[in-house]
Amino acid sequence: MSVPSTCSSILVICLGMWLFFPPDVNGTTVKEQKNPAVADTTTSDKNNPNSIPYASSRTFGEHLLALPSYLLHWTTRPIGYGVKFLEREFPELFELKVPNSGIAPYFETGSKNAKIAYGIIAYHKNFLSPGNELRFHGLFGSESYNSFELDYAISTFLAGELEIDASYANNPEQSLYGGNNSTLEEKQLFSAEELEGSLAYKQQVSPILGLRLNSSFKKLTIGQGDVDDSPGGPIADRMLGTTSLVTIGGSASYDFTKGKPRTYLGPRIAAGLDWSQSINSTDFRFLTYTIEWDHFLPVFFLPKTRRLAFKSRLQKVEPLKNSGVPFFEYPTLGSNQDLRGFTGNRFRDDGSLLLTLEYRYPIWDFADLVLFVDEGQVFDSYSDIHISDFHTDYGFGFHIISGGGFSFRTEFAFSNETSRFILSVTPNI
Amino acid sequence: MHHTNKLLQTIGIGAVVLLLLGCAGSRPYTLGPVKTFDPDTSAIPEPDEKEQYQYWDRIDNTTFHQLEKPLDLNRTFRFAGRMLGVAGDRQADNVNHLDQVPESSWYSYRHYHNPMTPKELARGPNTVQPDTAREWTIFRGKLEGANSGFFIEDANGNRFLIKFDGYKYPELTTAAEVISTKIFYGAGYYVPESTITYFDPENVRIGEGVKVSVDGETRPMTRQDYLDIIKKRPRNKDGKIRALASKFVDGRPVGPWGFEGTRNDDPNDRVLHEHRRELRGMRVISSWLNDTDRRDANTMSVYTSESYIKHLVQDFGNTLGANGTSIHTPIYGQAYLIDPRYMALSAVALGGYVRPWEQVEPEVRYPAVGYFKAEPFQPGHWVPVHPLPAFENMTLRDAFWGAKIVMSFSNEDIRAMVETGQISNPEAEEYLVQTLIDRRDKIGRYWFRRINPVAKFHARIDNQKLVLQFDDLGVTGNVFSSSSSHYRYNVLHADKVLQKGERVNDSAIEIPLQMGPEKNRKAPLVVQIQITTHRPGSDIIAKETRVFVALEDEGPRIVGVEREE
Repeated sequence: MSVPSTCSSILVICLGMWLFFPPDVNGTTVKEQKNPAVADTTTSDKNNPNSIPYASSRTFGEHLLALPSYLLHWTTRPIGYGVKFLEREFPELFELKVPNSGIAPYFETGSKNAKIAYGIIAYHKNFLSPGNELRFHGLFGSESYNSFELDYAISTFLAGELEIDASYANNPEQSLYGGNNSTLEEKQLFSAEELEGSLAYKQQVSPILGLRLNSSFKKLTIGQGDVDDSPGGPIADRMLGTTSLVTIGGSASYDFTKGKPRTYLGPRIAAGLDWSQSINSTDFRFLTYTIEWDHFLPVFFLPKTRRLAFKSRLQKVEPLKNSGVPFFEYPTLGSNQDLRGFTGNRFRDDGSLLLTLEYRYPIWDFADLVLFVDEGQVFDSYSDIHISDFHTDYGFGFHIISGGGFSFRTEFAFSNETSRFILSVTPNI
Repeated sequence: MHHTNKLLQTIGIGAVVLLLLGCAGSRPYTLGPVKTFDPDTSAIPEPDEKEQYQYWDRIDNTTFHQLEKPLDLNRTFRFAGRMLGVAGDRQADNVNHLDQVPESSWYSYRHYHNPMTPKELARGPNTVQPDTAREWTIFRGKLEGANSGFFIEDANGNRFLIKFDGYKYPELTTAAEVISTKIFYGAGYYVPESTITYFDPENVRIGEGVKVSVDGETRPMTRQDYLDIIKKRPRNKDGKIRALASKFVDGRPVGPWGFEGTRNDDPNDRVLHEHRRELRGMRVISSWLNDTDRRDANTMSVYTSESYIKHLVQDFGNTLGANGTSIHTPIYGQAYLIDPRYMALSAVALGGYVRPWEQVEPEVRYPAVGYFKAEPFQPGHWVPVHPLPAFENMTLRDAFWGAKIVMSFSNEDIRAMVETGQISNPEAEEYLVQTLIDRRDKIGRYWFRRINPVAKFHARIDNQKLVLQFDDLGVTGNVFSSSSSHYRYNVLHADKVLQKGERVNDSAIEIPLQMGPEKNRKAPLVVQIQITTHRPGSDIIAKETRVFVALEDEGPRIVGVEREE
């Protein structure tokens, strides 16, 4: 039976029921009860209308016509029981307030490395001292696919904040592509086991100037990935092995932007420089510098909440004399933060340049829609940068603007190679 | 194509059926007494307390209830019928033949029906004040930052909830709560007693075993907790602290009542709440006060000593310019907290659509008044923060009912009720009075253009004439001028037109009885007078109000009123 035929049959049945069990179209459907359920207490006069209570009623036909709404109503009640339970037991969840401490489960699906990986986030916002936050993040998919991270932030250290992080991650399948002109067929797979510890000191010198000093130790072991799944074949032997890197560096950021929580005007500039040195048998010594410039502009004929965000980022590694740079430290493009329409780490070379233009506009007090275009390329040297070498993606997204508690971002990005759905729910814990 | 024709044919048949059904109707008047009381106060077994789930209520009303509406084919067909002009709105279920709401456990005839003096309106529901001359004893505490408060028992044994203003807006919340309580009381609703009080902070002690909850942990309340609560609160020149004292209601609270459905354990609760006129029409009264947080959680059912459930409206801290301990912003009253209508429009327009409240500067002239304005107020588009089924069902007749209650408050009445808020700045108080007056008049102008605002009918025999006297609420409310208003009427008896197209310039219609029905009949004769109001120079469409007058031995009596929508 075709859909129109089914629809018209349903309509005929419904109208028939209306005819057979007619509701009072213009008037009310009140029936004055001849025998009130409870004895009247206000008057003894049986004929007085004040002794006959009003009551709402529906005919059988009206109930039948309302059946679809009843079905939806009763199928959604279990959701109500769940929400009521949460409201009763965890009222703070509804106030979008994150408690001072807690443990939250999470899981990850869709990875090639494990069908499903389970994890927890545990945190305490006042660990050892008020304002000092301890956070643990663990994900376990299998013996060869897992990651663990422990962070501790001391909110008052000298005139700033001190962050101490330690992490371990094991991933048997990471992708390696080539430079700017590489194709998907060049993909190679490698495994990585990483142990890292870092220390960072942050200080807000003035409302517009922030400084950061950082140091880290990283031990990374690269192994061969699944060659059968590597169209580009196995990675070169010289890339295999263990590297221990020490990095120290610093960065400064100038923030002249206006608008909170929606930034609508002004520039934000950040520049950072890191020096890295291998401390095992490998000979790696290099500098990494990063310059970022973001600029926000309101659309002049509309309220300030409709704004353009222009973002640019230049990143480059420079080997120091007679030494090299490990491939995993090369700048890359292709993540949910830069070239969003390409697969992860799609392009990798000595340098990367990213340009992004976003038009952000509110659809509600706490929600924005975003239309964006990303342009990016990686390069060996600055002379290799050409307009025609930019890779382009575009997309749209939905962002929830949250003053605290959590942030939510979902985006759809498209390129000539693939598309990507980005969903990011980050509790600010 | 065949199916399309069949579908159109079906819809056509349906429309005819609807038309026929629409023509059928019961007698629009009564020959018996007019119902003035709905007996829902019979003794019932004591019910359990109903739990309050304020977030689920919001989620349900905002999402699932909205999805259910089109799936209720009664509603959908009625909507289609209305579009075709062959069906009317679903009217309220508890309306008598005079288009009025009878009294009940929900509603009482007050200012509109039996005009109260400004003094009576100012007194409102209050019977006692907290005794501030003697010591208060705290028997429960609530530590929630600016919203902290406590419950006290005074030396007379009366119990009150004590609430305070926010730190940034002294007098704002307490004044709003008291003023709106008085207005709702005058409108006919049951409300708790509330008053502004100034108490000596040294005259308060913490009772035995009082506990407070802090970050989920319960512990005994300390003197320091009390001092933290009263710290930074506004004081008068004598050092006494200003607070709102809300008296505990008589009877046992048994949870909130809802704006939809009925209460299963209350046999008296027979009318679906979404079809109660006093709840549908409340939308107009709430719009006047910008009562944005009106929802299930801000209501209260009380099991009375007479063993029935009485229905109270409470929590007026989000009315006028107040939004709890903070202030309203321009969006309040103009859109729901999550409003798919505006969200969809904004998304499709790519930011080009500027929503009405984005064009209004959130100016706060007086902290004690907060953000409360008349200019951006649109009576027909006002909504609370979350959808309420009863408000959504409001018809033009319900709105008229609400509007005539709002318009019944004179400038002096409003001033008297505002004064009970004890706003110390006279300019701020006057601004609030004037804003309420302006918003009231906007309500009158808006709703009285859409329905014929003639009401308060009286019939008498005078010099062998039947005289029908009425009030044009648009004129008595000073929103339309009497000199530019006139009325046309037809007189009918048993479908026979006795007079047609007659015109009067004032609100009294005289019908010579010799033109009327014969005398000495068994059943009283009923004449129908169809009145339309005309205001030349305005774009008001004249709509008809039909008044049915029974000529009885004791004299003429109004036995029916019908209003065209």
